[in-house]
Amino acid sequence: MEGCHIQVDSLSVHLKTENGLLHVLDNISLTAEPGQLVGILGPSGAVKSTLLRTLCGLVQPSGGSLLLDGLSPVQARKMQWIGWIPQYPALLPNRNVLENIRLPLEITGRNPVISLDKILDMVYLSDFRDTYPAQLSGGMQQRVALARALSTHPKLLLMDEPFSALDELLREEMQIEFLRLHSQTKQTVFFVTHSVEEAALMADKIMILSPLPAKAKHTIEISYKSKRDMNLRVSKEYFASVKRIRELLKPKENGH
Amino acid sequence: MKRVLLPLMIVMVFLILWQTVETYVNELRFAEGRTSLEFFIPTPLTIVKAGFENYKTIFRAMQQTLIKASAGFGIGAFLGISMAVMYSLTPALRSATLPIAFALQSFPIVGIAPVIILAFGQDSFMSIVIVSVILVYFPILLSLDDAFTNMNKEYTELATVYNASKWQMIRLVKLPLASPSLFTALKLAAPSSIVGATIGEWLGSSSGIGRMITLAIYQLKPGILYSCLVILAIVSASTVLVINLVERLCFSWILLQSSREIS
Repeated sequence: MEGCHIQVDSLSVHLKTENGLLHVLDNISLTAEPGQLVGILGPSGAVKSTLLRTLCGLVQPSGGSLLLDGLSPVQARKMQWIGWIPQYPALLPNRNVLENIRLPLEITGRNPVISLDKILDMVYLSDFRDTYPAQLSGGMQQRVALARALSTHPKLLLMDEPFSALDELLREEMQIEFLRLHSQTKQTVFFVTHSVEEAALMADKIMILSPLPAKAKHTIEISYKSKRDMNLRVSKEYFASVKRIRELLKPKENGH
Repeated sequence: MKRVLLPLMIVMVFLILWQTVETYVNELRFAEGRTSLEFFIPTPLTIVKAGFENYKTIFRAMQQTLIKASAGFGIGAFLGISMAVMYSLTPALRSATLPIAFALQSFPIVGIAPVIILAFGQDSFMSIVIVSVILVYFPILLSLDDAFTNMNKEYTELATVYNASKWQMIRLVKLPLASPSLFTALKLAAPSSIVGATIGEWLGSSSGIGRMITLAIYQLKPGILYSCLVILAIVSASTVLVINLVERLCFSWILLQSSREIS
């Protein structure tokens, strides 16, 4: 099972708040090819998360359509196509690493497509299968969350600022590690980030959202001649795309 | 060891002071032809003596109280946990009846107990257990309900993305995450169950430590009264220790977690 194709057409979302309906997403359109990494950048964390939540059916759109290989998000969710990595690892403290990774399978009652041992291997956690989350470092916890998302072998991986709770060095390591994993698993990935560098490093496609109600201000494609690894970080083409994104993020009119 | 030794020494010093001062005062009062203070505040030695002389009756009474309290604790905990789970499964039921639960909780137990005894019968096992249940039920319901409703959204959303049923949500996510608060509530509720049973016996029973306390007061036997208090305190503390032990043995991850929060 490889990544799925994603088609978002003039999507609008209104959220219920204490002050009535809030128009959060306005007329967003986007396509993602199977296996593409899509980064979502924008000023408000809540808006970006809302887009992810709509993609997995936690939030219902008020207009437009959203199709994952032709299915609605809720249908895709029921087919086990979606893997979810929250901002904080959200590991259950009463379960060891292996049991945490198995949680999605336990909920759905399905057998793993790839063996859990192999997944543990991929995230370098084979020696920690019986360890409890409280005994793991933040980076390891995030790797468990990653492994948990991969356990159902999803077609679409959604990540809500997955590395933002980690310190800088660890974050850089995890980003590269994720790219390495993705080259094996090849899901379509949507990730929300507030870091230009993270978007430039990881994304094939970046969508920059405007403030509320958020429109897709720019959608740009990023491609590199060299491999996405540690060396890319110090390359000219990487700096060029960071600069390009920063230019796009600048407010259009300089009022004062 | 030092943690235990120092408080223990302070208590010992206090008891010795109490014994000597009261013995001295009693001698003065005796010389003046007045009654001994022993009738109002017995000395530690008198208490120990009364305890040893009556240990069989005191133990038997404590045992009777403990049986009622255990029944109250078991039923109260079961009802409290079940109700919290029901609330989590059916929010409409929760919003309809939680305010009532809060209101009921504000009735003081010393007022409720006579009402229960009047309704369920003087000297009945059932009425004492019910008084105990009331003291256990509400704290467990309210603390578990609080843990369920203020749960970190990341966990419930995660389970929702994987299409967890409501029951799976409770079993796999909510109950494990709430169990630290549940254990805190159980540790508070266990001594309460004994308080409840004792108050119940006090007002309407012919057995148990509560009954023994009232008798000791009427019969002017302060030594027995104080011995009953001491045994009550020891048993109450032991119930907390037992729950601690269960937590340690069966839910060792809770301690892992709390030790991490401190470090």
